Parts: sequence; C-alpha cells; structure tokens
Amino acid sequence: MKRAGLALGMFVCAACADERLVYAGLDLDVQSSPPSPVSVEPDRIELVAGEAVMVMATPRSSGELDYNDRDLLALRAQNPGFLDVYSTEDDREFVLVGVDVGETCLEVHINRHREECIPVYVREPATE
Amino acid sequence: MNIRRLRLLLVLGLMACEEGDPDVTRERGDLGRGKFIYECLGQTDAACEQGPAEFPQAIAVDARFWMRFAVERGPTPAVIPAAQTFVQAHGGFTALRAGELALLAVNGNLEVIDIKHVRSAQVSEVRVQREGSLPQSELELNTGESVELRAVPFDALGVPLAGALDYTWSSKDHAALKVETLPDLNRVLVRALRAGDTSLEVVVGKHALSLPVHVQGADVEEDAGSDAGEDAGDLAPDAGADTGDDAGRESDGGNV
Repeated sequence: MKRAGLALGMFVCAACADERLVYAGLDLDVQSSPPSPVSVEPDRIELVAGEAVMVMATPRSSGELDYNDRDLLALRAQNPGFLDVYSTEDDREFVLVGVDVGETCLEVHINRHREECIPVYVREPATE
Repeated sequence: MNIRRLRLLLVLGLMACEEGDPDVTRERGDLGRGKFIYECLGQTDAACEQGPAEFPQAIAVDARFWMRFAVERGPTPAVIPAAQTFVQAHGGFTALRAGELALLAVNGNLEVIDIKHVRSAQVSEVRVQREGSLPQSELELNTGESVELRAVPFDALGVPLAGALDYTWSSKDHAALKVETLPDLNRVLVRALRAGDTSLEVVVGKHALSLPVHVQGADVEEDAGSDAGEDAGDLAPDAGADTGDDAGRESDGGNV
C-alpha cells in the first residue's frame, strides 16, 4: 500500500511539472559574424553552404516554469548531408554549419524529448 | 610644434599602424579566442614565396594548405573543416569548392572554440613573373639566356590565390626554348637556345597559360654550359647536373 502511494505521488508530481513547463519554441541569437548574411529565426533558419555560425539557443516555456540550466538542450540535424551541428563548451551555444545546398530541419531535444524540428534552408555560396 | 600637437600626431600614427596591419584582424577567429595561422603545404604555394606565409586573402580551389590555431594559454585546439564538402582533411587540407570555407578550432571533446572563414576561388588566370618584377604576359630573351620564372595564380577578381597546386611546364619548341628544371614546381628555369618565336606552356589545375617567348641572337648548343644547372639545382636537386660551371657564370650576366 505504501509503495502504491509513493508511485501515485510521483506520477502526480510528474504530471504537475509537465503542465508547468510547456515548450513554446526556441530563441536563437547569432553569436558570430559569418561572411554571408544568415537568417536565424525561431521558425526558420537560412545558412550558406560551407559557412558556420554560432548561435545561443534558449528554450521558451509557456507554462508556469521557465527552463533552466538543468534542462538538457540538444540540437541535431535531421539530415547531416545538409546541416551539421557542433556543440561548444557552453551548453546553450551551438555552431550550425551549412554542409550542402538543400533543405532539412534542426531537431530540438529537451530533456531527451524531441520538441520540434525547425526548417533549415542551405543556400549556394556566392562565388566571385 | 607644441606638446599637444605632438601627442595628437602620436595618437593618429598609432591608429594608422593598427589599420595598416590587416593580418592582425585577418588571422583572428570569428569569436576572437585565438589566432588561426596559415601554413604552406608544399613548395608550390605562392603564399610562402617570401618566407613564412601571411594569412591569405583567398585559397585556390584544389589547392592544399594547412591551418593551425594558437591560444595564449591552455591546450592547443585542433583545426578541422566545418563542412567536408568544402574542405577535405587528409593530413593537410584541400579546398574542394569555391565559397567561404569554415574551419573550426575544437577541443578534445570536439567542442568548438573558434571559427575561421577563408575565401576559396577558382583559378581564373595564371601570371608568370621573374623574380623582383611584375607579372609578364610575354618574354624577350637572348639566346643562351636563362631566366627563372614563377607562376602566380589569380582569381577572377585579381586576388592572388594561396595553396599548393600542381603545375606542369612545357616548351612548345624544345629546340628553341628548354625547360631546365623539374616541371612540376611553380618555379621554372627556362633557357633560350635558338632565335625565333615560341611559347612556354604552363598548366595549373584546369587552367592553361601560353606565354609567347621571343628569342633573338645566335643559336647556342643545348648542352653548352650555363650556370642554369646550378640554379636548377636550387629548385630541383637532380636537374642541371650536366652543365658546366665556367660557361654558366658568363651566361648569368644579369639576365635573371
């Protein structure tokens, strides 16, 4: 009986936390100056093939709680043939690299749960 | 001149020095955490003709080069290509495509410390120059005269391109103009043997240049001595061993 009560309590707490922390998007701030203009928005990213840009990623919550440093954030390219993502020494900073011309999306994982996939467009580099 | 004016001139002078040293800013990574240092990989990199390479404005497509990252303290990060579709790593780097090539300085966990972009462009033109002179599109030689020439690749904007490339030199008329060194360097020693018009051909990657050569004077024997052999020896140890020293000194008379 005691064990069942404990399990029920844990389930209720988890449900509460889920309601209080609701993923509402990812804010991306450009931290470096690549040679060609890039567009980094919460719902769309445009890069140039061959170039790299560092971004600061901050997940937004629409619940009662905000994400904090203990929430594990990971960004992954859905198709590494077009986009590559490197981590940095800062858990919230990432380097996005345009690998080749094409379209893919950037998977946002928080606490090992996939929240969304932001469309990424990789453009042809300007030559001469 | 009063002290205030002197001070103003000093400040302006210092500002001019800072602006006039583009390498300081060119070498620095995008994140400002260290310096990316360009190094030549092979003898045919035009960036290293005058000693240690300055950070290049651009690198030729298909050219080989090396880049390292220097930090003031702590372990030295490695440099890796950001996109292997643009830069191939194989002990050195090879620029594969035109564009801005991103290189990353990374720590042992492959975490990015700094970023550097360097422009890569197709070779659009190859100019040939004698040492200490401007690139030439035509050569005038006297028979018996030897000149050392250097090929310099440029992009379509007229920017000299760094990186080691493969060169192939040849003479259109071997009886009139002899290529005396190993032909796969970006430098070559040519010797005029017979009066007339011919051309020197140089191929760099996919780009070929034909340089008209006008030779005048009395014909000379192909193996009549010149110090071409000695000069050639500087470029390629096996070349020119059959040339005589004495005659060579005579023919060296200020031609190069």
